[in-house]
Amino acid sequence: MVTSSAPHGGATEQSSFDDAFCELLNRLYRRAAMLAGSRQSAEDAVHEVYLKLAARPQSFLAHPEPYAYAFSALLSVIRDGWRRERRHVLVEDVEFTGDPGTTGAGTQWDDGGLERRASELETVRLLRLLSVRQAGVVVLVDLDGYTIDQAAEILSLHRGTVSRTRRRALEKLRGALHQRADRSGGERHAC
Amino acid sequence: MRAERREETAAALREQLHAADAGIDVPDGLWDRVRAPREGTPVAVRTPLLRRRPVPFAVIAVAAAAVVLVVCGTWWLVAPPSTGSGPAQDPAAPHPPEHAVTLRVHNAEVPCRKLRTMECSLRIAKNPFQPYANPDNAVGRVWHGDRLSASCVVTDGQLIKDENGLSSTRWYRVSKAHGEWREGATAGWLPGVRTRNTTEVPGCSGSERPSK
Repeated sequence: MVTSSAPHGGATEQSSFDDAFCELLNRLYRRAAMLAGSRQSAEDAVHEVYLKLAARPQSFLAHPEPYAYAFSALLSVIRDGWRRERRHVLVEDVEFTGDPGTTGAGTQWDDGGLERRASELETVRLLRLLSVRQAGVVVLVDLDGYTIDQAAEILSLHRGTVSRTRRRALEKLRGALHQRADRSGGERHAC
Repeated sequence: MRAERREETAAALREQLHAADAGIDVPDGLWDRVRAPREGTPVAVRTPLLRRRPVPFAVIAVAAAAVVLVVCGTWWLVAPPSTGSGPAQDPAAPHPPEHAVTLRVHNAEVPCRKLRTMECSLRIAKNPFQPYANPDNAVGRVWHGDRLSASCVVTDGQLIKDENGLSSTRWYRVSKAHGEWREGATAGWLPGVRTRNTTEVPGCSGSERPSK
């Protein structure tokens, strides 16, 4: 356990940090899953964010909005990951495959688990069309509901930069979202 | 129109993002795995890992200082002689010792003091123990008022008497600063009667004295 390996004399602080981080964990993981591209990468990213923030727990705890602080760290981790993967050959499209380890046969038949997974993968594909900064801005503004000004503060950018970044992201995504709508329509007919 | 389309895209994107967000299940035991050190990552190693990014300003400042030092040092070493500084200026020139004394050349003939002519020049000798008038015993010439750096003195050189009758066997070993020096010459000897020194100058050691 980390609490046993925490810096000397910081047991209480470490405990508070763990509590605060744990509250954000699910939300942070879902953001990581969208941005990192795979669940394993998402888990690694969250772990790395935890380690980063644990190095200076007081900064995290003293921040007026810990989620924003953690998201900023997550974006930095994701950016590093994307840079590492830059030389990898990307697939044309995300191929949907059920995960046999996590999805039971009953789930596939009954409760639309496949569709939920497809939605996640489609989002990953869309965000992968963007730069890390664009993806971060889109998540903060369009998913988390922050204003442009708030997102600018979280990402330590000028509001004009954030506004321009989001506009370009939306322009990039326009075609991709239309493609998706067309394809979804085709699938409905096929079923 | 463009703003409208952008808003449509944003709405579709929001819908997509929210659907994905709702669909992502957090795996069981995630918190335990996040808190636990990774396999093969010893606990003791984690603290240095967390400090992968040292204070950027400190690193940049140290690196910049190192670069400046290296550049300045290199420039100082390879600077051309014309720049007037650096060891490459004249490798053969004797380094003036710490006890070097600055002498001012004194011409006893008053009319010559303002003239910088050949007739009014004073000779810097090659050897203080050889006749001053010997044509070979010269390394350069100086004029009244020129400043020279004297590193040492011999008191048993040739006896020289100036135009006013002042005589002395003291000779100062001087290095070039002013005057005209022969090519290759870096130091020579100035008769004591050609200056008016009031400062103590150390005697020349054996290696500094030319053979008689």
